Amino acid sequence: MEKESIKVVVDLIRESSSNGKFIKYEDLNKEPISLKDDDITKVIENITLDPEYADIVKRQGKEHSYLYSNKKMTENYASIVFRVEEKELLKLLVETVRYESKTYPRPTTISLFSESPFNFNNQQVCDFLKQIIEKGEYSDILKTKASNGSEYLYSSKYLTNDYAVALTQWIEVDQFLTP
Amino acid sequence: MAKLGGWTGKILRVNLTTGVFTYEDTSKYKNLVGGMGIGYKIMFDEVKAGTKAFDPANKMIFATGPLTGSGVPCSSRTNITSLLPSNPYNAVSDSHMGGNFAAVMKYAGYDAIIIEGVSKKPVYLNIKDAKVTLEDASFVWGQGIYNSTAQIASRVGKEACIAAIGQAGENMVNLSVIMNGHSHSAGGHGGIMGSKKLKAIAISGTGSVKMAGTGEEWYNLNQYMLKGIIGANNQHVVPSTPQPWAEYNNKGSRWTAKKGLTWGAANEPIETGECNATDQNKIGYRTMKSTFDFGDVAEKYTVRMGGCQSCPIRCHSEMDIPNLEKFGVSRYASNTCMGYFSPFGVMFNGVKDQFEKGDAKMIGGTLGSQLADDYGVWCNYGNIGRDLKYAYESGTLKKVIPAEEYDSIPWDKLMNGDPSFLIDFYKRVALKIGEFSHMGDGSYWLAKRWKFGQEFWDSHDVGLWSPLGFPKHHSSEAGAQVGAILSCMFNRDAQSHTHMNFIGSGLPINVQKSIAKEKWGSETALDAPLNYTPMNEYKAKFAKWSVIRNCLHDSLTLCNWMWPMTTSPLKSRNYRGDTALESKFLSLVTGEKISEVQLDLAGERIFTLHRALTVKQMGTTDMRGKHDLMCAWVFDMDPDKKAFTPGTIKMDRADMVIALTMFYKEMGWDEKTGAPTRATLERLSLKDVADQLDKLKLLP
Amino acid sequence: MSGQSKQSILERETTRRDFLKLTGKGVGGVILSFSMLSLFGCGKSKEVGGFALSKGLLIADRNKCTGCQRCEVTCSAIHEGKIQPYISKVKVSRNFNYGLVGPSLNYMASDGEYGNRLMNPETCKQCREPFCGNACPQHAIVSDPNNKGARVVMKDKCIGCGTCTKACPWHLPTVDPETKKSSKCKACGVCATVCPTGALKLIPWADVKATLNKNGYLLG
Repeated sequence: MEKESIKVVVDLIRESSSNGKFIKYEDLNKEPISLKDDDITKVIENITLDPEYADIVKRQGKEHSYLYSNKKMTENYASIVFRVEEKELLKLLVETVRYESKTYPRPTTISLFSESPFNFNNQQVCDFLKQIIEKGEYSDILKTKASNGSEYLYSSKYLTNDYAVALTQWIEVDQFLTP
Repeated sequence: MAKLGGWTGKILRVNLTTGVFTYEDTSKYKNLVGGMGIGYKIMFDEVKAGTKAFDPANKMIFATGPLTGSGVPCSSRTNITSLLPSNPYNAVSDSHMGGNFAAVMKYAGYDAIIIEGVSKKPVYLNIKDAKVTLEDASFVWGQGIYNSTAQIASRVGKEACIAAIGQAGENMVNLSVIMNGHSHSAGGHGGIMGSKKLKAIAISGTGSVKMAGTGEEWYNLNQYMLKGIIGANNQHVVPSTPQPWAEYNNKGSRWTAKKGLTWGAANEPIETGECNATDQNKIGYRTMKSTFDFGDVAEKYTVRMGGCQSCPIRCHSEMDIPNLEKFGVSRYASNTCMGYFSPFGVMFNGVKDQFEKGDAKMIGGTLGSQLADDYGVWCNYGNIGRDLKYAYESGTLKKVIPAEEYDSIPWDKLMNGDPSFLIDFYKRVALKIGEFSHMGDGSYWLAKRWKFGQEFWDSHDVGLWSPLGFPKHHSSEAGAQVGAILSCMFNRDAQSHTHMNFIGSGLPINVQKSIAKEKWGSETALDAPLNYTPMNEYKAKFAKWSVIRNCLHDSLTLCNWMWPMTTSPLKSRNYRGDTALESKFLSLVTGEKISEVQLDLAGERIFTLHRALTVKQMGTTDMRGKHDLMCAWVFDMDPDKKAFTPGTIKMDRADMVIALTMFYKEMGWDEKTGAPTRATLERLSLKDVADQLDKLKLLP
Repeated sequence: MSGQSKQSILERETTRRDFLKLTGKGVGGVILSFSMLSLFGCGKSKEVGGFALSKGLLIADRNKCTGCQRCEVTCSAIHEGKIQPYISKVKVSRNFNYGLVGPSLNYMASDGEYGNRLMNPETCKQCREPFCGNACPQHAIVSDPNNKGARVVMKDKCIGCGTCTKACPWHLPTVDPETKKSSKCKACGVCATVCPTGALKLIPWADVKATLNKNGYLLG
């Protein structure tokens, strides 16, 4: 396998990662790369072995295999993209809310999910919120609202209601009193 | 003075009474660095205790420091020191203005300009390098800052940088500003220039700031800072939305650039895009502030971002809103943060959307900022609007204002959310029209004159931090006792951002706490937001470090809204910034090697000098009892909650007593009174200050 | 010159000359047409000036200029070892307040920070017929063959008379009041390297050639 061809593939992966996108194995069949399946396997093997390309990460989904560069895309971001690609959106929402409640800690603005790479539409958000109420396994996911109407979600595993309410108000309204 | 880089070596003293200019060597202030340090020393040595702000004996010091104009990022800040008329004791304060003025002062050859005496007639100071004259200003006396500046510029040259007062300063309104550029104003001291009949200072400078290091060394240190340490506005180091290059994100972050978000009113909309942490050619896009301040509606009205000389951050929103002309003001407006929010806050009953859905805040802010900035009215960090709300809702206004005057005020506009109310409001305040104009006295004097009840002081809504009449500003809402302590230390709102920048960086709490441990000795120095714990010695260290850096920046001068570089946006740096960067730049520029610790000592010296000056001006060592005070709401808010439980910023009285004691101990001040001791003053090479205080029986 | 010559210097020389021919201007600096600009990602902006420097094409886009003046401080730091915007070879601060012309009665709607907020970054056009060089009584301004023909001031010959400043229609060469020597833009491009918004951008000739070739303009 020519070194040149491998570099082209790596460059493509890195550039896609900069733009927030994975490369799926089958993307390498298409223009402009146009590799055959056997060749794709060979290329990826070469990439895995080359220390210069140690940033290229493989992730296996249910049906697809993905490639990205962890130099251009952080693991956190990649985790979101992975869930989106795998169409596990409700799972993604819940994971995100729990992660934020635990880590920062803070409640999660529902508007986050309309941003890239989530890109949920309003209907999807509504559906998920319904499902959360219905499904027992998500009973820790609760809603708060700031005085300006903005809605947030938090996980009661990590935040008390008082805390979540106060943080919501702080983020949306109170911090602007002392800009 | 030895040939050091940085300082010009020259201080200009202007006596407005005699019209005489004298020059002094900056070297005697070297261990006070510059800026605030020079200002406080001159006030301490030359202005007698008991002097009032508008007395002829008061002085004003416009000062810069060795890094001003050196091209170090965020280094064009002017520090103005004088007595503060809105303070009950007219005690000393510093105000600051960004823009170009500070840098140009250095290029003209001056480290500081001291203004003393009183002119018989309105004048402006015209400085062209070594040529200094006082010129007649009667042709602009009575005009707003914008027109005055243009008129003066047409005489002295378009490249001159002009700092001016408006009618508010001329009329000695307590709440008045001095402004250079279209939006860079220093609060509280405008009236002093007015009392001295000094309308403006115009400066042109064709000279240089020298540096000991080579151009290449300078370039490399700048690159080091710009390609992975500097973040966005307020040194927020995390973007506000998820971006591929970033591990974290935070909705409250000022790193708001993202795909599809544009400077919409540019000739062709310019996308802010995803600005990764090492791309120095996109730093100026990171902080899209207009939509942050006003909401999405502001995008299409944003011409660009702007700001101060040498700063890549650009935190002022430069707006083009054609509909503003309907109010009789320019369609173009500039400002940021409180510059927009305080006029909007004067409309305490809200503003209705004016021309499209969601534009209320934007129209209120951009209309109001032009009025306030042109008249040169200050706001006491936004409290003027809350003072108005209280005065109105308590029925006080109806009581104290004569009926005819009361009826002439367009209250219906205020109550109906019509922002044209602001046109009337600022005019009355600036021109001292009627009893209502005492709104410009500042909260303390206003409450006294109109006999506000105790509930005014106790009210969380009114938001006054101190019985001295200034509001909260990164106080108990910013790092618990750390913010609370800092807010007690000055004679106005602290203007101290070191701690808040760090707290708001956007990083997760465990990352922040690990940095806190490295800097101040323990993770317990930092509480999670709204989840406070009792006082401990590490919080005292964090508070000390914060205020010392603040004073240092106001002396070097550097922008404390950006510096210090406590964090960085790079995971590869483990999100650590470089807190030695001030000392590295100073060493490079001056040629005298100084360490981070040595420079912090200078900051400690400057801050302690401020304390000594406050003791002197208040005529008491009892700082704890008479100065370091907090209003009741700080402790009594959220009555259904307990302090130190998640979800409240409520503080505890006994705990704050301990907090102040611990802080006094860190500073080497008397633990009972909070006054600087002789031992500490001498340790900080302020023996002459100790001797003076001793003579006045003001040592603890 | 045809084919894929690996002689990079000649290639660049040809590209630059042909670029100037293509855009059809006599003066070294050109105002690029819309179609040319769009090739370099500058959209439909009217106010973009392109100047043919040795390393590549320097574009000054005033819509992106925020008036930070980091170009000025960097220029003087690198070339003079001190911070002195007055002698910076790229001029921003002198136009910051009231644009190129100065305060007018209509200042609130004219260029500058007190008006429409538009900045005017000015750079040397490296004129083919340099006004400054032709006027200098000491012949101290020459075309530097080691720097692709950039017009530079020979400091040892300069007497600081200021004729170059007056002769230049844009008053760009500046006599340093501290050294009494003039200096002017050397076409080094470091200002573009440090611009926080990419308002000053140096597009390498290789990219210019590739873009022009790709879009059907033939060069070399």
